[in-house]
Amino acid sequence: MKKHLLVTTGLTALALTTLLAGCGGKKASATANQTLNLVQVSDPTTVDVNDVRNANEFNILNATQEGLFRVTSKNGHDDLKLAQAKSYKVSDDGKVYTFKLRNSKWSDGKDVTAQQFVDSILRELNPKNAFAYASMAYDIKGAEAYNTKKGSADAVGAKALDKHTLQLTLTNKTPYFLKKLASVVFYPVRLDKINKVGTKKWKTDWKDQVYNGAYTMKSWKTNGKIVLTKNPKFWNAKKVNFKTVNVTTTEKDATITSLLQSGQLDAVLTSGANAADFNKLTANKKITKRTQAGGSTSFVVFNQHTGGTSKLLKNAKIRQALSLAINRSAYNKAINGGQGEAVYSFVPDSIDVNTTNYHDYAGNLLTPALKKFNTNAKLQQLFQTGLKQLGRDTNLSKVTLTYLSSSNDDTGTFLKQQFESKLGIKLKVKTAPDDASFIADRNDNQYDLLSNGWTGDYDDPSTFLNLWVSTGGFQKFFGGYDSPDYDKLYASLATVSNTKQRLKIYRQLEQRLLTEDYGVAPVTGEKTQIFTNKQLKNFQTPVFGPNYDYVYASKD
Amino acid sequence: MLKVILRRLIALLISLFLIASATFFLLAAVPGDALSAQTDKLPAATRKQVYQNTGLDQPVLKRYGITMTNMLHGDFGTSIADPGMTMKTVIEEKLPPSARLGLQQILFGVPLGLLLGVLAAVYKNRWVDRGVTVVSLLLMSVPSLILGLLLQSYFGGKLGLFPIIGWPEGSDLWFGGWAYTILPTLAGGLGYIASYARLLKNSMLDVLSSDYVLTARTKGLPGWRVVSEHVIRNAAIPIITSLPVTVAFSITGSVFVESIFVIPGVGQYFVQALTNRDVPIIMGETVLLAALYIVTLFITDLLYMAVDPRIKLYQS
Amino acid sequence: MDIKTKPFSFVNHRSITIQPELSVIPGTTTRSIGYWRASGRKFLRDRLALACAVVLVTLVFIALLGPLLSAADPNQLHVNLQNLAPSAEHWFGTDRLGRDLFTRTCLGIRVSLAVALVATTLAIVFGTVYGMVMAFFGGWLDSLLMRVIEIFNSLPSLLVTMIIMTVLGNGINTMLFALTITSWSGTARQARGLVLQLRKSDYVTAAIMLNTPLWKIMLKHFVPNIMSILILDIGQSIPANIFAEASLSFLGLGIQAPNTSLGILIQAGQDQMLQHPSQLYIPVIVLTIIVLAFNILGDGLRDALDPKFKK
Repeated sequence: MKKHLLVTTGLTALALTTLLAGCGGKKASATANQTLNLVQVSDPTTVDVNDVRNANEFNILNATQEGLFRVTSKNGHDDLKLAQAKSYKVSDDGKVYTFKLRNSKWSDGKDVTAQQFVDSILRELNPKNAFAYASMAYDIKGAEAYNTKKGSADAVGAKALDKHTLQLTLTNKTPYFLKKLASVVFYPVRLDKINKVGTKKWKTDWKDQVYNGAYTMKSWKTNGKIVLTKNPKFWNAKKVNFKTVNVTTTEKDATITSLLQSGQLDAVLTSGANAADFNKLTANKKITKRTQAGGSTSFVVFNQHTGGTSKLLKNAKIRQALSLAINRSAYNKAINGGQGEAVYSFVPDSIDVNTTNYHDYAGNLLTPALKKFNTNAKLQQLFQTGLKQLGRDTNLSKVTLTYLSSSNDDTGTFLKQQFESKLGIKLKVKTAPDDASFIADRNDNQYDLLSNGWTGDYDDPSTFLNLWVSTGGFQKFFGGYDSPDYDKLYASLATVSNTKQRLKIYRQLEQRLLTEDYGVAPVTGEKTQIFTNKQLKNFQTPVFGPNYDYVYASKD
Repeated sequence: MLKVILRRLIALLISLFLIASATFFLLAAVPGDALSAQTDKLPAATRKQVYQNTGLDQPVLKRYGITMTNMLHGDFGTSIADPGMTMKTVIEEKLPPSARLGLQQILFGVPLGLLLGVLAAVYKNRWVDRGVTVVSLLLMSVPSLILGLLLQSYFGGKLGLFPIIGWPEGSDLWFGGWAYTILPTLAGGLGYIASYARLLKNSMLDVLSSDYVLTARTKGLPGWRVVSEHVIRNAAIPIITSLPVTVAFSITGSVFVESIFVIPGVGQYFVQALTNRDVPIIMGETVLLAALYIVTLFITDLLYMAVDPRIKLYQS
Repeated sequence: MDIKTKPFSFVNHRSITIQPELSVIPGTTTRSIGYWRASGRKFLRDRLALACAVVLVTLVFIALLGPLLSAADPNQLHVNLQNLAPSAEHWFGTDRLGRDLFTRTCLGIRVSLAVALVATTLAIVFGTVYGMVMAFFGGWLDSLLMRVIEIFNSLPSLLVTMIIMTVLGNGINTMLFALTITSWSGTARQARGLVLQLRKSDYVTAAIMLNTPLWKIMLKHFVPNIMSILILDIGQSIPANIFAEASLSFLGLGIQAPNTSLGILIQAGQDQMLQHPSQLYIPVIVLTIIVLAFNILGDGLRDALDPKFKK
């Protein structure tokens, strides 16, 4: 999931505010226990499950709609629980999944059927709809062909065998397929409703929505708040405790802190520099704080498309010198207020392969190189070697690199100081006034370096490592790393399902990317800090998918 | 008179046409568009499809033609960033909170400011005058943003007297949920106290030093009668003529107060549309705001004529 | 009474500015040296305004010389000195990146003042010339140029500014341009009005008959006569522009990092408000003092220049 399309911002907040005035005394406290008011940084861009792309949309849709599975979380490790699916079976070759659905109804009383899940997959893949997450379904047979207009919808391996039986056929055995399938993009859809208003309008047309999840949308005012009320038709409605959920839009940390402190707010999820803004809350006895590993990595991008404005970045030695010149723990302190963690590899430590933690297995890949090049002189020499290879003047003080920054970003200031003091080169920081300009400059290759972040879509290293495949479509936004060896190695994963072997290949991929080609420089990882009202119970905070799940949460 | 109005109306239409065209081409010249952030990192074919679906793939001039033709029919188009939002829904959903906030600020700030202004002028150079001057200068010098933040963290957060954020809705939209509105009203209204107190004081001093007041005084008219019969009437001219502009400003929203107190108003939405490069909404808001201001300025001119017959419209 | 339209400005009540009722009365157009001397004397007698002038001059000196007194580099990050409270070493404390806030505030004052002064000058010069040209030539040119003013008056200035900043890119120069573009029209209107009256005077007619070049007529006859209006305009524009700069920086437009301004400091301090309040309050207080001083100074100037305001 691209939570952070451009830079890691990282604040998702939940808040509890008092209900509109009007009820007093006992009645008020009774409603207070049945009301959860949340805060989000910005409005969802869509309520169309197939069209999602940002974290806050996942959060809303996770509460109002439901898919085959629900992601639960314990101590920063995710698990899947059956939801709309009652049971499922996987064929011996690992390619055919058969799901039995439970008896469940939409908020308008109609049944949830297997065909609605098939409709969702086909709609997601329909090239005319141009949905961002269509590639999530590519594991399904015929999906990629249909989405890229090379095949037909009929050939897609998604069939409804009867009203309550759904069968999905994959191209290859894919060990992490179910983790992907839990995503919002695979939630069922009601074509009868959508066709009435059209896909374009459906995106934000909350008034015509129907819901198979725990809540229905009562109102949505952009830049104001979203109000959810309990859905009595939800199959497990008995276990849903909150009658009302209010999600208010504000991005001001001072405001959120005031809300939490005054008891008008229950919980806030935050990471990065903003997390430091809430430190004061730890002194408050009514609030608990916990920290869990996050699912994203921030990194510095090297322009390998054109070598950048300086034409130097195609050289691996120069990239190496730059990557090793960044003091990652200082970066974490400066940019994240010490609230994240310095990282020396790309895949975050929250990711597991089967039951093995990938990071424990792979280790900190950049550490040996950092130890070897531990002085400024050695780093400068490395940079000069690169300059020599390119046949350029080795006078470092004459080198100027351009760092493209989006607005209100301190990374440029920090990197400028790092590179100038350690390498003796100059860094020009170019600040784009907004996202659209940043993108325009980036696509025009008007940069040597820029910062970016990536949040995984599902719990497997591939969600981080497939970014760098040259045909994958994403590497071009992250500097255009292009290595035939890497591509070949990644392709070999298709036929490997053994956990040990997969771990080995993942590690080889990461090593090639980070320590041989220096295609990207990971700097910090996210740590999520969760401040909650002590009364709030069973409040789930999955690492992947939605940031939080309060469907079965309660307050005492 | 009718001729004047007709002439102004034609000028208004020409101005609006120019403004709409200028806005359109300026926006077209800006790198990136409403979809560039949204479609960033999508496969090329997918991106192309998204552009096709919204009609943004058409050449600039063709889009200009379509936009202007639709605009002639009063249709500004649908938001690109926020499908389903049109200028009609913006006015229905976003204008009421902003308008109520603005009107409350004016109803609170202007009368108080006028009262202080009269006191300051009547007790010129005494402590009342000095107090009013100091307070109004101070209020003028503190940005409303900071006032808002301070009010919010102290009265909302620390003392817990008022809700920190939020705005009445539903049946309370126009009348009700007062607790929510107090801090935002203060944040903007205090400024009106300052500016109107100064405005009235200065205009009263002008009048007080004028010949006819001197005459009245020398005739032996008591002080309060001079003030009530001669001063107030004449000193009110600048107040009456600035009020329309104040109202037009205030009801169209204040970005900062709205964003601090999470008020779903026009001000915030406009800035959001701008950052999203949401051309239909930007065009719609710009043209409507411009029309509102131009009409307001015209009303101001008419008021001038009404209150001060010496002034002629357009000394051509 | 002319009302400046500055929708969505930092503080919306700034939109009403008090314009003195100075007008050129035919026959008494040339203001004698005596007028200026009397005004100067009157201003010097206004102790409050004088005190403000002293405060402003002191602030400018501190802003210019302050960084020399402190050993700290305003742009140097120190990851171990983050968010320190004010102390003997860091007089205003340090910010989120461990940078010294005293020297940064000095830089901020310089940038904010420079932006306000330059933008004001540009707007006043452009507006005056524009208004004089309108009034001098009259006819269709006048109505055409008037229409342009009307358009500028009716466009939300934030829209114009934001569009300019995105088209031309962030930076001080763009910001100056944007601030000028959105604030010249009031001066132009005033200049036009005054010159319209002056134009009919005998000596201007004489100058025209003698084929005096336009720029000479403007400089010799028009400018001195509208000088007092211009000074007052300057007095009001400066605080408005300080606010405008702050509001743009607050929205993330304008000056680029690591450069700073009071608006950027306020914006950065805002999120730290509850934990490290000094990071917000110091730049706010500095900004308020500057704007307050300019406002009082403006009042003093008006009192001094307007014959009606006799003390």
